[in-house]
Amino acid sequence: MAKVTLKNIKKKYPKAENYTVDNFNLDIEDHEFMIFVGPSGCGKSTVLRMIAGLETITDGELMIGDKLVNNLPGAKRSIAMVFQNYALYPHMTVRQNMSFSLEMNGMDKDEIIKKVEAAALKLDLGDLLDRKPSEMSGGQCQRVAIGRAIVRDPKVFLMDEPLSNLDAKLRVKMRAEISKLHTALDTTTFIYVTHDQVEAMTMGTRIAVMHAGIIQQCDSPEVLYDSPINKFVAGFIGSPAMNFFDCVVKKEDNGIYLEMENCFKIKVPEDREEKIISYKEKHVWLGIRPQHIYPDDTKDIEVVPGNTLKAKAVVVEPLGSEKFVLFETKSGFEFTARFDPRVSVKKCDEFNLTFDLSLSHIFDSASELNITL
Amino acid sequence: MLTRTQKVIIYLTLSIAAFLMVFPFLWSIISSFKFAHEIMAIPPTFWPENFTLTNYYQVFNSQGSQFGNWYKNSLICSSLVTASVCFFSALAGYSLAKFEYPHKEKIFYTILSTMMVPMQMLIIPWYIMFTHLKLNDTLIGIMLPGLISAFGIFLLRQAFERIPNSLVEAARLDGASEFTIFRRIMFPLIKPSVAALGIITFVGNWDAFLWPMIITDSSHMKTLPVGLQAFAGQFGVEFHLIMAAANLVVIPSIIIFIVFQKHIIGSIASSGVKG
Repeated sequence: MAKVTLKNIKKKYPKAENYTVDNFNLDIEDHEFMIFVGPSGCGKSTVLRMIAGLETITDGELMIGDKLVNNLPGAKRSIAMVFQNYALYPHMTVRQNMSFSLEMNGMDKDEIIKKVEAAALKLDLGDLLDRKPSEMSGGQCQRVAIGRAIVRDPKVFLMDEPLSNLDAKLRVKMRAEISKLHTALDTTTFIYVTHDQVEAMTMGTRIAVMHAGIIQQCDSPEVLYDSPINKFVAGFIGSPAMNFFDCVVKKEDNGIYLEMENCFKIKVPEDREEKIISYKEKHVWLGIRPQHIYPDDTKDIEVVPGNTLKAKAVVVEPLGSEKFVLFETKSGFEFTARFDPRVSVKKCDEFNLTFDLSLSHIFDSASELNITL
Repeated sequence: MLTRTQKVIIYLTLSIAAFLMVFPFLWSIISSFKFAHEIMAIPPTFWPENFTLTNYYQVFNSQGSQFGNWYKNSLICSSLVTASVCFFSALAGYSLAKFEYPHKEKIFYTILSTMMVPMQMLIIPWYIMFTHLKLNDTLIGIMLPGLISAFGIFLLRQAFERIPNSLVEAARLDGASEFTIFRRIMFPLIKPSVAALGIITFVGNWDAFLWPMIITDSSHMKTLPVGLQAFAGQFGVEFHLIMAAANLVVIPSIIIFIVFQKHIIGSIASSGVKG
């Protein structure tokens, strides 16, 4: 049983004015792959380090299984951690690195050898056991760091940005390997910290998006993407990021419109009118993902007359499978669109663009909450 | 890119400087194999006319000489002080680099400030204190002031600072005690700096003259540098014996330097600290 429960967890550093982590509440289920994601300084690593016992908890309760572990040293919490810089002991061989924790826990030598070799086999480290960290590549060091953690049979596996030091190609490979490992270790709960939302979306069963020490939203990757609770989550999840247009809600005889000054005036779909009618003459943020912006001559797209926006392409990034285009309106406002690779776009081309407003989100400009949910 | 002429000038200058440094040492080695009258002869000879080992025999057996005893005293004092300095500097340096506690910085700067007090100023208080403690003319008396070194603490603190905290944290999660972390993880990683500190301390203590001379009275308690004075008596200086003894004195320092020179140069260069 490796359920992790965080109840009203708070963390304040001695010289800090505010709480680094404030009222953090989360139930992490047994064998879940929980991801903490957020920008630098949002408190995600602090929470992970509190679970590991590397930081004291200012207030609140931390339970692993049914046990309150607030005052238990990290070594006795049945956890293992993979650090961002791997934290392999440089003067020890891979074998010594992997057996160190078992040795510290007084395990029998023969048993240690068996466990280390089993873990090495699982992670394809057999040939590297007598090498030192300086004689290995980043990917190999990463696997050793994971191996050093799994030999302990932890109930909870903590990972603090473990892929951030790897190159892009290796990162994709290791992402898959960690996901496979999660499937293989069917009694272990994974808690993974990253600032990379692609890692979060591809690996996590649930993602907690954090900002300023507070969980903004915690849900499955699909829900976070399709139904972001606020502007921060909407902007953080998804690559390229969602575009936000500062609009005013206008009521006219034939419906409700969103108007961006000197830029566009577009009609809100009827099924959404009810949700935004109370914002009449007020500012809201219109959030549109880049793939929901199309040239108005795109086939199969129903263009509502008047719901178009004229903009000039200023940067074109052809990626093969898709094309990212940075547009600029006459008023100088910039936004990104994701086009089919077959769409012909050149720098300085002018386009009439249309939005799929049924897939857009509208956020209160003060609270930044999603008012279309 | 240096031109050929520039290179020649640099090498020539360095060669002359090296020769000027090495020549006195070479002279003392060669002179130690000469008879007393040849050393004083004018014009001087470079190569011994009659090669002899008598000087070395006399260093150990001449009247008043306790060369073996002095060698032993120097070896004991230098080794124990070196071991103590390395051990306590590592402990203090580790604590100052990797633990958080109140007034840590103030403690560190206080330790550093002791380096600014010249030894000559401390000698009289030490002497009075040691007389009260009845440590005059003892090996403990010779060693005690040097057992802990502010420079050593500074050097090793810098070395520990360079080691990522995540190694300590990983070891804590692995279940290692704080002393095990120090002994098994951290200390091995600063070995080059410890080696450098060891050499500096050993050589410094091996050559120490003023304090051992003041604190020792009896001939058998003297250390080598102090003992060498015995060869410069009231009625003249026995250069042939001094040359032989000086060569014997310098052997351990040279051995230690040759063995650990890579460490000392590397460590001092990387820590940006002069020895």
